[in-house]
Amino acid sequence: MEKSRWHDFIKGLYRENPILVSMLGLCPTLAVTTQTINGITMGLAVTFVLLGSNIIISLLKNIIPANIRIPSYIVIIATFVTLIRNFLTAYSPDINKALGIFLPLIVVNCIILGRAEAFASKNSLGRSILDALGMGIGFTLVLTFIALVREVIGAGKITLQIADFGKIYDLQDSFSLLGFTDAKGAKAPILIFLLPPGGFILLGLLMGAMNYIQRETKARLEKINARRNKTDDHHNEHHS
Amino acid sequence: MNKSIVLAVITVVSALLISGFEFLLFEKRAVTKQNEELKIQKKFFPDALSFEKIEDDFILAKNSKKKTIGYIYFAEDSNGYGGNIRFMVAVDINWKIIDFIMLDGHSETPGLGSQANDDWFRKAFKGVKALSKELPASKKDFQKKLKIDAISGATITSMATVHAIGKTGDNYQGWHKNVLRQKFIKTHAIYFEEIN
Repeated sequence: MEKSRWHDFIKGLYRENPILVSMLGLCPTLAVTTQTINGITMGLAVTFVLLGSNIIISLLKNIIPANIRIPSYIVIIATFVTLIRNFLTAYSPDINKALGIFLPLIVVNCIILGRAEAFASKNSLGRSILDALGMGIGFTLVLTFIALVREVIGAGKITLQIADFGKIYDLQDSFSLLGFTDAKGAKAPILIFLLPPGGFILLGLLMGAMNYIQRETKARLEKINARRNKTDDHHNEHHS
Repeated sequence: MNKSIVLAVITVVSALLISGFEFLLFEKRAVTKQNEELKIQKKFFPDALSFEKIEDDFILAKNSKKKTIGYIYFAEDSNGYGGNIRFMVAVDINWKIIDFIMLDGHSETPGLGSQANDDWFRKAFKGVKALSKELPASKKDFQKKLKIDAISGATITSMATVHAIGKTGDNYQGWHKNVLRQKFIKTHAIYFEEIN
């Protein structure tokens, strides 16, 4: 029991990571990750909506009739999206503008609808919460990482400013960006990383790395298991 | 029947939740907007003591002796790379540009169009009169009139910037001055003299 609870949480981070493994929610992943803070805010917004909708849908799973479940889920998800959006417009209009259309589009984000349909509507409240947290944090971590890499390489900055808190770290001076220059010979960051192609390249590399790691771990586990079986057989034979 | 009731209840509860939340956020939103504008205004005119909004998009900056030391106007152009872009432009009483800021800079491409908010670009406008004939009309004009190149890779944003600042500047210095004169002549006789 203990182990399966842990698994509910951790699967979103690693084995079923929404971006790198399930490849869900790629639109916002590519579009908003031009500044670190955007990645973090988008990730947290999705986590909030995921948590809220998973809780409500798990609680209402026996009340909502099966054939109107999708409209019901959409209304519930849209409620949470509206709440987070109104909150952002009041406290940090800048971030709201930066996320643009991708914030309201969380309503139809496949991660959230997918978790509602595949998990929350079939499992208990506790498991649904853990599932939402795992998936949300997994999404946030990947988004933040992509945004950080793109901003550092593409703009030579790290933006961690929201409303009046935090600041923008300028790396232009301390980090000469491997001596890359623009057409006029002035030092310049590698702009392509901020543009859509750079996002695709980075995302592809990350997916490849994740695939490689998962395949390697699986192969290693199989090898260990095979060896254990062999020694076990050997042991048994010896005894008989 | 049961289905419609369930869906109706969910919808009503959701609407109540959103409106209740909105009730709490309503004031904060106005305050945030005002604070952000005030912060920009103070950055434009560090010497100004007070700011007076006489039109929705026209603000007077006043010093400690209540004398107007400059104007701030909002300029808009619909031909930004990501749609509409809005600027806040600060000019002195002779309508020479002091500084400006692109308000919705996030919708322009980061690293390209967003450079309209960078120092090197804004500094080139300093001291130039906020009239379209004084500002570049094409990409080639930039070197001649502002002594810089248009932002490389972001010609659209560069052009939208000069259009917005120039066109709105024309308007304010032309007919709008008259409108202001008519509109405020009674209640704001003092502005009439100053704007003149």
